[in-house]
Formats: sequence, structure tokens, C-alpha cells
Amino acid sequence: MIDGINIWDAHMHYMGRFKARNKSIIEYMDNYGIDKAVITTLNKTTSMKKLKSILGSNSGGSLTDFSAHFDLTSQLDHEPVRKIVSQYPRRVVGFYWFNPKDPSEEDWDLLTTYIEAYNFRGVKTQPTVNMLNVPRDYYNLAEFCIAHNIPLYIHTGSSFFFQKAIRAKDLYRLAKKYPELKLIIGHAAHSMEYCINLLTYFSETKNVYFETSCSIPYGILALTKGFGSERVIYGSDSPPATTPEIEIKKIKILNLNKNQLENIFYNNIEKLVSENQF
Amino acid sequence: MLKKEFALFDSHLHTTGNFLPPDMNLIEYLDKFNVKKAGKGFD
Repeated sequence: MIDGINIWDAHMHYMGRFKARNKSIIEYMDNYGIDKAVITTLNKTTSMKKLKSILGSNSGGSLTDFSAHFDLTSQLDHEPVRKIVSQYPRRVVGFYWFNPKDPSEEDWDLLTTYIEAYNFRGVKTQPTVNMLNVPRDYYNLAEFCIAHNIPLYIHTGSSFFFQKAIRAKDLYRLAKKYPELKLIIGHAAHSMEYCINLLTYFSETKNVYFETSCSIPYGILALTKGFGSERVIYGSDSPPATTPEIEIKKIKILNLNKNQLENIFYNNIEKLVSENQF
Repeated sequence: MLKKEFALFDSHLHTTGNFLPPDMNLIEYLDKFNVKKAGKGFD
């Protein structure tokens, strides 16, 4: 709780650069006044060390080979997050980071187990790292999320040079095809241009929510004014990308009223992840 | 804190904007954030 407002961070990872190795994620949350958090695993395949290595091997040319270094079909390990969720069920909710690019039966079975047996309450995807086509690669996963009444989170941002852009227009096509889907667009105001694109497409699409991590404060304000505080969700992307202190302050400086702050910092994500518990 | 330990030169500042209170001029705004100098851009 910060200044009388409960804080539910809708985008955290179990580890990362901005958390001391000798501190637990719960201690990290306590340090920043985070009451509850959505936590997912961390993709280590695109670390700065690996990217530098790849770029170094392509020095001076053949950057088109860059994409060959991405592992397109693998899934990530969620065991560290499962342990935290199991140990702190009142503080932490798990999101399963799923790669929907041609998943195997075993991949679907494991996802189902984490949702139904391990109390994970959402699915996160990263279309850049997994080279996903939006919306085509999302149809089966969207239907899975609808069937389980859980939100689907899609990371947005700039794409690598060899990839198709993650366009607001394509996200809109997905949301319109599945009006029952609870879709969370991540890093929704990572640039003002992207924020304006979202405002253009999603004014009538009530099943879509906008997560604030790594966003521009003025963009968060525009999303709040454009869509209402009921559709904006605070997230930090900490500890790998930044700290909660920085991301919370971006919202605190917007002079929003208490009701708006309660929606953005707590109520909206609570409602999304609490509607169906197995 | 950073602002106490370093002199700050903000290399990208505008003359007006949503986060400049209407009753505060730009120099007061700089002072509030301990910005010693700034490169002033177009609106």
C-alpha cells in the first residue's frame, strides 16, 4: 500500500537485474509497497550477453541471419514461479508465458496443468522473441483463454528489423474476432505513436485492457482519459526492466482521483484474475 | 539522491507541456527538479 492505495503489480518477473540476488521476490515487493503481483518467468535466451555475441558474429554483414539464432518453438521453464505461487498464494498470481507458435500436445497439456492445478490465472506472450504472427498465431490460445476465463497478455514494442511489426490494427483484429477474450495489451504507451494507434482502434472494444509498464506518463494519461480508468492496469515489468518505484511514480504524477488510482493500481487486475479460480 | 550529487543538464526540454503547472514558469520548473541548465526545444 502506498498513500492509502493498495498496489497490485500486474507485470512482474521472479528475478531480474534490479533485484538483489540475496533478496526474495516477496522482500522485493515489500520494499516497494506492492501488496500483490502477477509474476511470470523470465526469458533468458535474449540476454544482452547473447545478443552481443550474435551481433559480434555478424559484424559487417549478413544481419539477415540474425533470426536464425531465435529458438522459435521452445517453451520456458515455469517451475521457479510455481514454487513462489505455491508458497505465497495470497501475494502472488502466476501468469504462464506460452509460445503459441506450433505448440505440441505436451505444451498444451503443461499449460493446462499450470492453469487448472497450479493456480496460474493468465497467459503471457511475447510476439517479438517468439516471432509470432498477430493475430494468426493466437487463435487457438485465445480460445484456450476464453474456455478457462483467464486473461491473455500480449507484449508490445518495436520489432527486430527482420520481423513484422506488432501493429495495433492486428491486435484489434484479434480482439474483434474474440469479444469474450480478456485481452491485456502490454507496455501500451511505450511510445506516443503506439498509444495513439491504440486510442484509434480500441474505443469501442470493451474486452481490452492496457498495461502501463515502461510507458510514457503522458501516454498513460491519454489511455486513462480515452478508455477510462476501468481499462488501464498498472504493471512495472520489474525487476528485469525497471523498478516499481519508477513505474508507480509515472502514474502518481498524473493527478488522478482516488477512484481512478484504485482502479489502475488494484481493482482492474484483481477483477480480471479473480473471476475464475480452479 | 542523484539530484544532490550531480549537476543536471536536461538536453531535451520544451517550453510548455502537460506537466508544467500553469502558475509556474520554466525556470521555477527547472529549479524544482534541480536542473541547472537545459536545452530548450520547440513546442
